Amino acid sequence: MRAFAAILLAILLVALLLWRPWEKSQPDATQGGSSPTAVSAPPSLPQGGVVVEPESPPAITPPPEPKGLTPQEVQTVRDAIDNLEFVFRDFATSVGGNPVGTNAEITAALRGDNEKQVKLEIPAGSTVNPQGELCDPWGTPWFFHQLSRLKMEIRSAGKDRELYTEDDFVR
Amino acid sequence: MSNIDQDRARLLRTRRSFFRTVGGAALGSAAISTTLRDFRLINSALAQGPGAAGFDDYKALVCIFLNGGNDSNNLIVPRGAVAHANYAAIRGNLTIPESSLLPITPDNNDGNEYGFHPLCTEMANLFQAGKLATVFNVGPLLFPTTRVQYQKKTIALPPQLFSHSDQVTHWQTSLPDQLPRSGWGGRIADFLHPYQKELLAEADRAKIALCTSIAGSNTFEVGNSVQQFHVSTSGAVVLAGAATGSARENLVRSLANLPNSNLQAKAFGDVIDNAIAAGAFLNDAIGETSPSAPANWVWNTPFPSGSLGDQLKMVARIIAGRKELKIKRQIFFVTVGGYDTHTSQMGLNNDALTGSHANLLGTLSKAIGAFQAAIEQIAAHPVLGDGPAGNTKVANNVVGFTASDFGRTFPTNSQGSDHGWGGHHIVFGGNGNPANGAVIGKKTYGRFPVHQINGPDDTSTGRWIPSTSVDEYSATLAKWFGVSPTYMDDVFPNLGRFATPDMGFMRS
Repeated sequence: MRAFAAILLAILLVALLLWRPWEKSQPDATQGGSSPTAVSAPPSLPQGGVVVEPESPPAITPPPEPKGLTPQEVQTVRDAIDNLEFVFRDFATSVGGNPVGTNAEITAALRGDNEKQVKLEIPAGSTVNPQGELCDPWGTPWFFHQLSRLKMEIRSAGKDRELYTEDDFVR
Repeated sequence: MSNIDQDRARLLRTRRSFFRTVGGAALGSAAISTTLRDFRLINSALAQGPGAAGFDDYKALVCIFLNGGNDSNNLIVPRGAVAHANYAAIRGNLTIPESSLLPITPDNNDGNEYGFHPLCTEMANLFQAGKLATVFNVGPLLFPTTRVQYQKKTIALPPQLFSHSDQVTHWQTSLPDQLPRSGWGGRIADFLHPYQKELLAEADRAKIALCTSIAGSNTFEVGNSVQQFHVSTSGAVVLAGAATGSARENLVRSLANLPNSNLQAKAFGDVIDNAIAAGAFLNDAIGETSPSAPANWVWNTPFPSGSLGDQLKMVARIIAGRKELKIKRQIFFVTVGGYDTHTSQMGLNNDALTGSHANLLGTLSKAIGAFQAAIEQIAAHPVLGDGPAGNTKVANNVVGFTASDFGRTFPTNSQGSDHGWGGHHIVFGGNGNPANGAVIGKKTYGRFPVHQINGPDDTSTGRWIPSTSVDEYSATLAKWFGVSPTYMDDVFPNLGRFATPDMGFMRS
């Protein structure tokens, strides 16, 4: 009986703490103004609800096979993208997501300019140009199309060094 | 059993009973705390909101999400010799000639002259009529951010900037620093829902949910407690393959309503039956505006063919049926894709009037124009309107706004533009009356970015650092919609970090 009473008392105390009837609601006058307000600490996670999956990125149509590249050239760019993928995978595993931004920002992130200061090797098959951009086997900056935290479309401009032409290699 | 064994047995019983008691207590306290929290919300709602009688007017908020990231640099373009020449020098082959632009004359003067894209005639007309406002350089932010802070990495930024899906989520949740549990439309619904449901008598309650999507499931309308109602462009899909009132539908409803001692099975049956009933009710409510209705309904301004026109047409039809649906607050979500214009942004020979982006903006403008005209047609209708002829209450209480993944890079990539950050948006609706219009139109809001690479608004490559946060943009809409100041921090927990919780483009 005593245990039951103690538990009941504990429940009531917890309920009282949650209810907090002694707290008054905030007056309206403090809201809605246009004057700058103090920076608040990041809030806690909202109560209840379920975690919503991020919106699905735009659908990717399978890229066409590049035209005008020899089998050897296709293999070269394929190997280079394979190596890039490994580096992005390692980066995402360490930092929690792909690097983002322009090619130069992504390259800088791979080389250690990231929140965890993770430094990764420049992948074989790619080079870095004087602008700090990661380039494909023909020396043209890769185009990184950022779809989501873990999905990125990588495009090489191909032998003609011009993006969005028939010899582009996309993955 | 020895005395020692008996003692052990008693101890075991005690332990078992202890766990049983503690488990029960934990469950009990969780239930009580949840109930008390709900009581607090309801009490607070009654104190702050329209009261137990619910809303005495109707309001609708329509989100048009431009999927892929709209190049708003070509939606609203600076005019004037110097400003346009500077724009053209950086935009290169994405330039829209000044002579093609549709000039607008804002009532406010921010030192710039502007024009709309040449295919956005309806938007420009609505702007000039005081029914549309532009909001410059809006994007997700964690804190007000400057170029120096961005470059020196001394400020927290929304995670995974420039990636499609993350930015879509940030826009729709307005909570970039949290796991995406709910959207801001859904959170508004959480707070307003009781006024048209639980607080009202059964007969007065809304027949469908506050949030309606014509574009399938979305993050924007996910609430912590309220669920979104999905409608197709031809109405609610009640039961696939079965017409309303058909033998098959009746059979399924009979099965769903069978007495069942299993509470889970009974609840499942109720969900099925309610879904069918709500869908049938909606389809009946929008019957008046069906082209096949006895009155042969015709929209005065036809909607453009295609997905966006069809979606907005359905929104207009549901608004026309609002009285039958007994609904006083509605949030709609429609979406259109194709804005990820890395290539083919312009037409042949860089023609500004053709190409993928021109087509998208042209359709968007026509759809918005048709939608606004449809709402005004409904308002003037003797049955579907609010009252005597000339009463345009509905027309003044439906407001649409655009949202998009991000703006796009200002310089050309030779064929289009790449992922940016801040972008310009439009808010439209209301009656255009400068004294009482819902949207305080014919004005520009926010700050237009300085068109300069490596300028004060640029990260480095023509991606504008937003000068207005999504929180400020959204909270201004939410305030007009009826979210009381007390709730604002719950709907937009980060709003307090920004200077302008009410940007002033809505008459709240």
